Amino acid sequence: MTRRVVVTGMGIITALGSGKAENLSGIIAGASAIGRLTSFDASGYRGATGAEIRGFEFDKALSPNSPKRYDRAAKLLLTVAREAIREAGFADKLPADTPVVLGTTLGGMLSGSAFHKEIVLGREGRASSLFDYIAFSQGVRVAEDNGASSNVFSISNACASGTNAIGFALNEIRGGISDIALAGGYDTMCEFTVAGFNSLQAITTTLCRPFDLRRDGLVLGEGAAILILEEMGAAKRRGTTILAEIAGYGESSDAYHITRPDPTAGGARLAIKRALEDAACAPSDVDYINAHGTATSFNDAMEAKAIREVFKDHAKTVPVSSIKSAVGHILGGAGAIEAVISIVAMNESILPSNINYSTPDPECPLNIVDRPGQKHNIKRVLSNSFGFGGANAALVIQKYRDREP
Amino acid sequence: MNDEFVITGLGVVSPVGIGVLPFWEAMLSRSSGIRPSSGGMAAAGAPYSAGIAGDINAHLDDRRFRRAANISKYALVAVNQAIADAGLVPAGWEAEEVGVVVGVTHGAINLTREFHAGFVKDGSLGASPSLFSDSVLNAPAGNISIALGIKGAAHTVVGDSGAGIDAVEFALKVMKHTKLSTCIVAGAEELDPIVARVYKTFGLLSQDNMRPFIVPASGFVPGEGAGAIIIETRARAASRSARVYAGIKTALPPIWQGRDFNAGEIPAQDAFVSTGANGTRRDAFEARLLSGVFSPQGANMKKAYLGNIKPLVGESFAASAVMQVVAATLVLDKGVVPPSTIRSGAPDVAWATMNEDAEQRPLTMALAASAGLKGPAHSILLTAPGDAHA
Repeated sequence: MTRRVVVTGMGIITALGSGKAENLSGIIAGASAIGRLTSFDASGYRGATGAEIRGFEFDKALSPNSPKRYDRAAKLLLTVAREAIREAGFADKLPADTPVVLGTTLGGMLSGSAFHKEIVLGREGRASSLFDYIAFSQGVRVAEDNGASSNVFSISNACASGTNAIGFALNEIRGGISDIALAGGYDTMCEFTVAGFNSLQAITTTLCRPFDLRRDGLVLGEGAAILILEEMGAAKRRGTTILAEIAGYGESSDAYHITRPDPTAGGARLAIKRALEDAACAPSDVDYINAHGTATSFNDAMEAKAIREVFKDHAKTVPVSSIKSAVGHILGGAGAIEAVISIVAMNESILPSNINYSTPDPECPLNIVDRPGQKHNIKRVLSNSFGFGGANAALVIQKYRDREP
Repeated sequence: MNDEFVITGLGVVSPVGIGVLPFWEAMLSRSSGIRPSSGGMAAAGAPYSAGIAGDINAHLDDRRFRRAANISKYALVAVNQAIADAGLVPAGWEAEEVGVVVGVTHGAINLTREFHAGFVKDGSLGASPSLFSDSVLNAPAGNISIALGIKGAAHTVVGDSGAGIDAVEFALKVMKHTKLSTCIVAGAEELDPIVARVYKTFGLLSQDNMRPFIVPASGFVPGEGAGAIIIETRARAASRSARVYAGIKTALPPIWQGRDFNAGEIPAQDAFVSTGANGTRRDAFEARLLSGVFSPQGANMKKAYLGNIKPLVGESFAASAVMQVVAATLVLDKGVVPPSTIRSGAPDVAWATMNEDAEQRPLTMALAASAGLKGPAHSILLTAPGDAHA
């Protein structure tokens, strides 16, 4: 019999706020955290807005090492890891040998970018930046500083990374490798990605409007989220509060193009189908879809096609939204952040809204959640993530019930 | 023993040559691809380095990737070798049952800096979309999936000098929990003078050659290239009568510095150990872990032949880690233990066998392990094909 895997702790930080409460209230209110970029001079870029975490101050007590020069990514991660670990009831440390599985697109790119810029300008880069730059060191920091220093996997599958990390951790627990795992994703705002997505003309010059006819591109964001996953029996024996169940996971690759999604939606469809099969549920059992919804023309049309083809008639009624118009696209962190928001929304029976949506696109004939604060009984969520390189991943998350639903 | 997964193909792009055969011949003759540096590498303070000789494009038939980063090209060439070696034909496989996992460390660092140079010097107009898309860490995996039509999964695992072994372990876990019947695993890395300079700053770069396990540690020689293996379920390999090189499984739980292997998880028998030691102080940690398994005081008091490819190909992080797995596979397949590159007198591994000459020695077990520069040690256990021969 498959071991069931539940969520017992969550931590999140986005431009909407730090912690679940601030993020939930922002989502309920339909707030947007997007503004002019201030962390670097973005005035030369066609799209100069983003969702930056303002006023973030790292609590040095979260690391017994020397966090002063940690990359911002590590500081965000350590902050949300502690929130998640405490909520799971582990005081300050995880059990030894807890797998740490993290997804990121950039790793410590703020350190890396500073290093590269110095070199380009003919100056000596700070040598230690290289170690903070490698997209493995942030996971090592989390493992070391939380007593889990054993099994660290850093997955970099572009914007699907966070969902891949949760899926991989899910299977580690199901397979009996561990009774507990720390999984999540993260990425920071940096000029490297703003310049890159601008060069691809993928950043909006107006508003981020996923699935809207007038959509013209994405907005980047920054943030991190961590989930503590546990085998259900182990969590029950500890008497901790169970927040949700991770019921299914699916993945695939497009084999199509390094930046553009496959317009036939074959890869996305396969990942979604695999997640539903893994969760042993029918499309009609899904009450809400947290879409990848980047607000690029290609992605949203492809994702809508995948949803329609998998969900058939149910696609006309199942509520769909993307929170990227509120918190920006957090790349490798997006999947984990959207999983946390989905769980919070499910437990509060509130649909996260797809803000800025006003003009339906015939290519995306979905039931888009266009008003904030809508109450809805959500028992099961599908959360999608698709990324560069054709990486696709999907999770099925459901309300926890002691018995199999 | 649970070896439900098998290796059916190998590929290597290394400083000793393009292909598995030159790699094996270099192991037998202890011929090194490490050379005195010139140009940027020498200026960076790396008097020796191990670069890929010649034009890699000459080995890359698919013209779509000729402008890709070297790391992608190395990975593609190694993977193509492994696929041909396995007798696989991408046009005929079930694409949704095939996955790829690529281990990387620094990624496409040259293109990443070139992309930075564009926007730092010329603002937004200097930012090249093609440089950006090829500089992301998962570009090699994405390119491989596109080149070969792989639709099951495409993953990138980032790590330190053990990243290639992490990638193999990751692939085995993914295969165990999904419907993938075939997984291509590669590790790739490209030389970069700036990275070399950083390692020089931290005293990690050797000023001559690499001497794994020798005390005092003198550092590593930077290298580049790619290694690739094809992993299939035993059933899948049998169904197509594939040649099986070895059974493969995760070996020991990852271990953090300061703790010990549960040596009892490795069966007691003579073995070849493809070590990841690279001449840095981290070698002592790896030696201690291996000692806990194989030394007379360890759990499995059997003969352990210690081998190390890094004096031949340099330290190319994720790439050399997969090459370690290839080396271990070849030792089992050939029934020959090449002469060890580990010099006698290494005090921490004095209990092991470092043969001076190649020995005809059919072994049934090989271990590929790496303690990495940071973080945990990962290991992969290989078993002789035995009844796995189709």
